[in-house]
Amino acid sequence: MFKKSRKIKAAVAFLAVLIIGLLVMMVISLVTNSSERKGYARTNITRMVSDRVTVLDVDGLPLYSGEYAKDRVLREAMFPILGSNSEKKLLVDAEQQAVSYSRFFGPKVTDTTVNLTIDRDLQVNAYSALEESGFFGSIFIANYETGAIRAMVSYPSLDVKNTENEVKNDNTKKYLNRNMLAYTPGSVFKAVSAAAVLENLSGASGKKFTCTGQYKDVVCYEKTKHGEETLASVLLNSCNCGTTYFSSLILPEAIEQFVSVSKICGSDLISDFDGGCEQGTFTTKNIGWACVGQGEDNITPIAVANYYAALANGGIRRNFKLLRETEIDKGSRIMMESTAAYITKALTPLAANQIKCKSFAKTGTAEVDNKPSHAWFVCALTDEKAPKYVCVVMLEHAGGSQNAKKVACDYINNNILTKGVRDK
Amino acid sequence: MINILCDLLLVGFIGISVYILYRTRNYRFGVVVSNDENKTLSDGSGGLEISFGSSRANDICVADRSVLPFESEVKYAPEQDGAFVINEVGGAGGNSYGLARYSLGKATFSLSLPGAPVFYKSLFGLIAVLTGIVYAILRAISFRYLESYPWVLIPFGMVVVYIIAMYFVRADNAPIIETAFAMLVTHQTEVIFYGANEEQLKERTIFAAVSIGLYLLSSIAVRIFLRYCKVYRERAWVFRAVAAAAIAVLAVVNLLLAKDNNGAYNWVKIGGNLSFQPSELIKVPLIFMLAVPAGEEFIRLKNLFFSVGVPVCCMIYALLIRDSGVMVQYAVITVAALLVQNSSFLLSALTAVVAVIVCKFLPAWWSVLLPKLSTTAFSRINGWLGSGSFLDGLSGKGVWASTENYGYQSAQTAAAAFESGLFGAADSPYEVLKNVAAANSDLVIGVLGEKNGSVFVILTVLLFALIVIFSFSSLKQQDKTTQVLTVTALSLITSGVLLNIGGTLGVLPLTGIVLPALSRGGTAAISYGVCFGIISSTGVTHAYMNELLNTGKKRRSRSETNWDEE
Repeated sequence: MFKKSRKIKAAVAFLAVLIIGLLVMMVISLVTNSSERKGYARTNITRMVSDRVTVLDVDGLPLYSGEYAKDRVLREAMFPILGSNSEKKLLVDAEQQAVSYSRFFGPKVTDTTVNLTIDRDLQVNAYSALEESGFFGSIFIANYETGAIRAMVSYPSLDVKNTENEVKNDNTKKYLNRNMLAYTPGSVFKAVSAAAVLENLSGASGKKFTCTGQYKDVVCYEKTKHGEETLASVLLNSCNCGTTYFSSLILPEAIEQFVSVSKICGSDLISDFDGGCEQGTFTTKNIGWACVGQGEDNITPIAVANYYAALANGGIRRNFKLLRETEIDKGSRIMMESTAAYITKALTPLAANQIKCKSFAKTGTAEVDNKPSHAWFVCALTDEKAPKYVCVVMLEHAGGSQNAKKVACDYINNNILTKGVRDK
Repeated sequence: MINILCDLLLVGFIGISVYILYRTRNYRFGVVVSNDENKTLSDGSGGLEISFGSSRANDICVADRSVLPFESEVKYAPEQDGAFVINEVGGAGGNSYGLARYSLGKATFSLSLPGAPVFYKSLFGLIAVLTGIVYAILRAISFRYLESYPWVLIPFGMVVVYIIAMYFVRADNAPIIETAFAMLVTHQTEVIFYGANEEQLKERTIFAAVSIGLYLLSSIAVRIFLRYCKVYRERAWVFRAVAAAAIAVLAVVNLLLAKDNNGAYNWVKIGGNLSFQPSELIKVPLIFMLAVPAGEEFIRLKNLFFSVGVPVCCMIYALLIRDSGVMVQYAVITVAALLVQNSSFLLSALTAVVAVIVCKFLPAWWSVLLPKLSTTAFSRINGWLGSGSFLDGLSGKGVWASTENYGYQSAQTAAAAFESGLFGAADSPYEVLKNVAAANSDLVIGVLGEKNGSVFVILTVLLFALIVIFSFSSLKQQDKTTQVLTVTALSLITSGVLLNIGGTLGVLPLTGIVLPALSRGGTAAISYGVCFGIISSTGVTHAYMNELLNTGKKRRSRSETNWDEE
């Protein structure tokens, strides 16, 4: 039996052992969870340093100065690009740049400036144009020669200074960038099908087809009979039957391969920005409708812009870029120069009367189940005196493509063509 | 740079303290007992109080049938003219002043004091104190809000005054426990000001002064009580009954008035922004009530009522208010008091068996019973375990597997504590725990780690270990009641340190227990302040010291040894 005094000493010694034991457990935990803890710590501090970040546009005008702009339109227009603490977008990357680590004194925060290729006026006016149209949608504008993005807006967008009544899971998708969401492309996809035919079928440009309003199970819009057509007139008339016919002259696998090479379903089309872009889809299950963009295809507006930029570049596809410092993508050829020239020439008359400069364009009306169609309009300005821009307007459930065409043409005429000398 | 300097001072303080411990390792201050054959039966390491009886649980076991199992206790009382006082069990007590020889049955014992320690009052004690003062001053002058609001010096000044006062209060002029405690308390100002803005400086200064003041005053008050108010010894039963009644009143007030607070019912509002935690205050009377009066057998009905019955009621009360952390602390101090005080092998074995059974069937218990009692505690334990084993829980893997829910606070704390550099980001305007709930109470180790670095976190734990080890050394200088009080107070502090630091860093389940001396809070300041006061009071008195150093020399017996030469 232990004596009382010995028990007391034993108890205190036991308590000392417990505290030393705690120290040992702490050290074990320190070693075993080191990487998780480091990652967590860096995320924590970077979430707090947004006040040290300045974001400038291509002219050095502020888009974000430690906080979002006071102007609501600019604030909302920039949200899809900058994001917030919870949205892993450009601001998070910038915040990470602002923080460096010292083993002795922990995180050190420095002022960071991010120079974007965005043109503030184009960005703000694009958002206003969407807002005025009354439709939800997106506008994407980039220089097709350099890949520099000049505007990327999504409407409606989150007002970060007024989020009290916001519901994150509402159907307005304010937290998302519609340029990066995949939609049924409609007729804007026909330029892809046409290129696949030209690349895989020699003499395709000389072949003819007579449209009767229906070819197999594919019908033209309101069963319009386009009559005798070449591939070029098929594109210009946006003829579903003709597109299906020409596409049927080559193997579905050939179209699938071209889709893959052209990256029309790609999600990594901006070299220096990961905004959570969706991957597009293309299946040959119902190849007739797939070739006219009405199958199970889904493509993002950015991917559409990227493909039409490649057409404007003579068949060379290059990634877009958002940061001024990023080097211009050298690009890769996805089609012959003659193929690109054939398609651009075919599409040149489409908006000749609406856009006040030389351009080629394509409209798209993408039918969706039980709802109004998505409206698409894509064009590239090819006039020597105009900026070398590719522009994509996509309006969700806006009905016919004419709505998108009107928004795009007004915007191009009133903003892009009146804007200085850049990108010409 | 200030942080590096302060860490060096802490290392220096711990080093000096360890050296003092080493030099005084053989010192004894208690009663030396020799038998007729000049054989030393007790060399003074048992403290100022020596128990006699036929039971082997006594310090001196007398193999004589005419002697009762727990016959008497002899205590040295320097304040009573340097006399030995005998308390016979069942007798009037204190009736044999000046006793130098004591007969019990057929045996006779000679009583004396050990030799005077040479190193006892040394320059090292002064150096340790000066280290503590410089530490507090450095912390004050480097405080980030000093320029904009100079009144923040008040809490730091209180700490400095406390350390200086303790230097003179301690008979050995080496207030190591007090200085360590004060150095820890210094950081409360930093904790209270965490996340403050310029408009809140006055309010936070007042809060810091009140919180630190309560800590220091509680520790001083309990020392005065232990030194001068003998009611808890002389009228022990009445005192214990009053303590039990106080517990009952506080518990009833809590149960009747508390409102839901994150699943627990432990806060009672007393008007305005003021509120208090009765469950924290209950710890104080519980500690005193658990100490069995000198000369009493533990295994008596009255003792069992106060030492087992009331604490069990306290644990049931903790369950009712759904405060698992407090329940664990009540259990820890009860088991500690029970194990060190009872002389019954059966009771000790029974306690150990119950503890083993609880641990053995803990998984089944928490999966069946615990959800019915407390869903919060259940989810916390499950979260701590994660999908892994018990060992995975102990190494913090459960926390990192669920950083979005259960592990959120622990992950935040661990990241702040250990990823802010070795010496911390003291000047950084970014306070990563600012928006995390309970940052400056439960998660205080993260706040301190962020500001002072991971080296400081390790040194803080070492400082707590130093306090326990020093208390162990000082235990030899006291009577048994004070020794028992020290053990229970230390158990409370140790369990607080383990549950808080272990819980917030993920190596133990999160309980919501605050960290002694460092977390902000008024009620906890009183309960932990009392605990630090109890363990600080373990040193010998000035009267004893003078006796030992001067007149005590005359009393040297044959067992006398010069401890410095050992």
